[in-house]
Amino acid sequence: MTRNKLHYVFGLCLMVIGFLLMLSWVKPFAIGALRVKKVDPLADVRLTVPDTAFAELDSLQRDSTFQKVDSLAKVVRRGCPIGITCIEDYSPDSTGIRNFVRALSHIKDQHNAVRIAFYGDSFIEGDVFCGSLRDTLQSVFGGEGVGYVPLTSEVAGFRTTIKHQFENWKTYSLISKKDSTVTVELGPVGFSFVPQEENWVEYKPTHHRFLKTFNTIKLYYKNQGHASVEYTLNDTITSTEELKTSNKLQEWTHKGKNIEAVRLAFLQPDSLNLFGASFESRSGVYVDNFSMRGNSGIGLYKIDENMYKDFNRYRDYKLIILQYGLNVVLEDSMNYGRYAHGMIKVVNKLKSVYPKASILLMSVSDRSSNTSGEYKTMKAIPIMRNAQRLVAERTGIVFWDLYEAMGGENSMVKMTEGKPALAAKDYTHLNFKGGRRLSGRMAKSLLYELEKYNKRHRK
Amino acid sequence: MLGFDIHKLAEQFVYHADEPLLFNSGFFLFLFTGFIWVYIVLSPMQRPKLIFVTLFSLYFYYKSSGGYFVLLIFAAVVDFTLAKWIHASTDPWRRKFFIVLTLVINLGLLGYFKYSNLLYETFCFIADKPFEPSDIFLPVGVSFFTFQSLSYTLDVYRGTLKPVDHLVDYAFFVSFFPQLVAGPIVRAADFIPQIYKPTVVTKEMLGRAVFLIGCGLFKKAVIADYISVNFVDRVFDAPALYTGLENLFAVYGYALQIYCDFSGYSDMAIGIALLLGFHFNINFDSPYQSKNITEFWRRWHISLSSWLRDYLYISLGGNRKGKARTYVNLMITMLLGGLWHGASWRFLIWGGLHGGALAFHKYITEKVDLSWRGWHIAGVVITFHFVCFCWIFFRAPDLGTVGQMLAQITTHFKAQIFFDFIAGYKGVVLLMLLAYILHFMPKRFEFSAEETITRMPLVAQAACLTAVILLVLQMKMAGVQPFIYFQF
Repeated sequence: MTRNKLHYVFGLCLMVIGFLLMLSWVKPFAIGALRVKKVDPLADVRLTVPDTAFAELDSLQRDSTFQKVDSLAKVVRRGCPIGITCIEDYSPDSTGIRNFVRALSHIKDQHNAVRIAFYGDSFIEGDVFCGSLRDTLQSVFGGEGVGYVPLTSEVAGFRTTIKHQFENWKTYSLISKKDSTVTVELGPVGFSFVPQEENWVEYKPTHHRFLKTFNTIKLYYKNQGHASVEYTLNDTITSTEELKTSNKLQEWTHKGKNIEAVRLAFLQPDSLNLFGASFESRSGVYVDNFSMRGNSGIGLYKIDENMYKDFNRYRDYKLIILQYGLNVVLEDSMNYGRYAHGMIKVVNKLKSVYPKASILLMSVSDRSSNTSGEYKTMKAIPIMRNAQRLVAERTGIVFWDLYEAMGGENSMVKMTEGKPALAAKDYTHLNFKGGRRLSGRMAKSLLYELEKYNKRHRK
Repeated sequence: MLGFDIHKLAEQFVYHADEPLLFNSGFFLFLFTGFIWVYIVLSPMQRPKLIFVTLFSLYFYYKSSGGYFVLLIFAAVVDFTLAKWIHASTDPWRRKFFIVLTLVINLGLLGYFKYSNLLYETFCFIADKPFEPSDIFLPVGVSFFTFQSLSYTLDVYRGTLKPVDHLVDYAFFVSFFPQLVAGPIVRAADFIPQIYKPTVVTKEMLGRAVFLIGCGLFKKAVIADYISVNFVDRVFDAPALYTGLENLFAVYGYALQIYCDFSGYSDMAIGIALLLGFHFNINFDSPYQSKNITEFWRRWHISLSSWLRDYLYISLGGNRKGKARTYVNLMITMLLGGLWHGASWRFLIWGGLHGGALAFHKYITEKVDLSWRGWHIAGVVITFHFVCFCWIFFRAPDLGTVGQMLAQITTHFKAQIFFDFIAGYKGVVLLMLLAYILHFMPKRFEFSAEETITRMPLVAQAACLTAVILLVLQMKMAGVQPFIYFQF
């Protein structure tokens, strides 16, 4: 008869535990690119000791105001009702958001368009965030249309607020690899689209309630040759129009009714740069999504001042929103002073080129990483948030704490792992559901500012 | 050295909704070690051993589903009693009544927890009303233990099994923790006779258990978990962000993930049962090696497919009622089999596709001679791709996503990014390649690996297991791979 080895099972378990405990004494090490981490079978039951190892401070963080930004925020937000992440106004006379809310409060009697330029990175691409913000604001203030759309887009298939197809274009951007043989002037969003032989681009509306048809179609371009645009409406009527020759940014407009599709092609495009199209109708709010994947925000400084100004002459923005930071935070780096300095320059430039707009800087969103087998907020995130708050304070603009609106520490973990999931599995980007939730919070904060303004001015 | 937090220690033992007790969790290792010590002490005594294991199983279930362990007790008591009555009565109508009652109770439980929302959603869709899903918690493993329980009452009804005498024996069978949460579905006829045998673990059983637990851990916690978080989930969440090539690889990846996840967990369950002296049948047999769809279903989730064959397909009449009925029966079996996986129309479509394919294969084998060798290789390739195609329905969150994926694969394939893809997803591609190679290895490699483990001294076996655990822990801490896009 075979011997019974049942008691061996206990030995086996004890040995495995013993080996693991022994291995927990091994310090983390690396073989080439392979990093071997410390294992700790008892991690779940250990006392947690606060992390005292504080990162080396750079000049900005040693600055006394930087250390106080948290308490500064409390002062600025005094009187904020519970349930709203209030906008923090750092302008000297507390008028940081006034241009925008004043325009909103007059929208019904002045019948004009109030435009928002939403600059950001991959966090907002595909209209994940802006789409529902636009929808909410248009439901309150009117307006139909997606606003600004680039000529080509990496996320055209993913975006649900417009149907967009194109072929035969060259795309240049602030962050694309430098090609020294071509010098292309970048547009106000940081992109420039150069039509090639047999180029075409087609836009179709979607079924969303305020995006069902096109009425006014606009194009932004710079034409130094003899280019013309050939446009086909509803797959039937084709017309050709010459584009204005000038060394300034120009606007082309077509007004129609209930257009279901538009296909554009550009003829003789030798010295033609296109920057974007826009779809709108009547008065109301328009949120222009200026997302650029991988952008830190610093590059906006490089765009020509006149380009911004010429563009704003047509668009007349009332609010500029800046959403950046995700592409700068690094796991181990705690120094964002240099980044803050760069962004201060960017904000000051935007203030001068968009003089009639309020400028709102939103904080970096929560982002998680996994260094010990558990997903947690990256340590650098709150530090980046404070650096951004300092940018707002130094430039006297308004600040909105997205990190707090999300729920603060480890909120991204909850959003990613929640049911339904509100964010993607990289613990960084939102999905449409998550975008709807967070943009709702932003809309709430903006509407609260409007309410305050109305109370003060109308009684 | 840091101290221990007594509260955190206590917390470990309490139910947490978002942290089910999995075999690959660290806590399980400690818990099992404590358990096995008592188990060894009690092993010579029949009844105390059974009571102890049953209590432990109930605790195990509580750790995963909280208060719903009461449900398990309820199911055990009801099925034990009804089986007894069925066996005792001679009146065919009484017997019929009791068996219908068990079916109603068991399937009712399953139906309430699993399908209420689907029915309600369908009703809302037809009545054109807004659908708000009601918040019904799905107790872990309810689909597994109801089927297990039914195998008992149905066998007693058919007269092929004598009912057990004591409730504890039956509760032990229904709640036995290794297979409780995620299968395999163990048949009463296979398991109950083992309860009364002495508790013996031979050298071969120990070796096989170590081998299976190691393999299972590797499949589940290394391959499946890594490729899902870092690749497959992302593509299925937003297929339009990825090229057709990435979408196609995500489908291949998912085929691997679901196999590794499920079969890995089954392997661990079988291994743990072996350590306690119990034998389960294998649940997966390298299914992607199948040459046709009928063979696939003999190798995939065997405990479910054989259950469906014996208790559903054969009850419907199987192939004894003519050709047309055979096809219909196949279809019904697979549609219900699809629905068993979850309450969604997607699972129904998935089952329908498989049912159709099984019927088609049955038809074609009667008409065409498929014995030519060339067919074998083509058969493996075709079967694999058909199964992959069906997995899209199984995994995608909704039918819109299925359409998007198929559109990406057929119209935005972009083969030119292939090398960028390999460079960008090195870890994922390597793991997938390794897993597919291992999957297509001949059986004899597996046997010799198992034998090698069996011959090892205990300390070496422990070292092997530790090595796999170490790998699992390192992979768990590997961090998130950032999104990579190759659209242009």
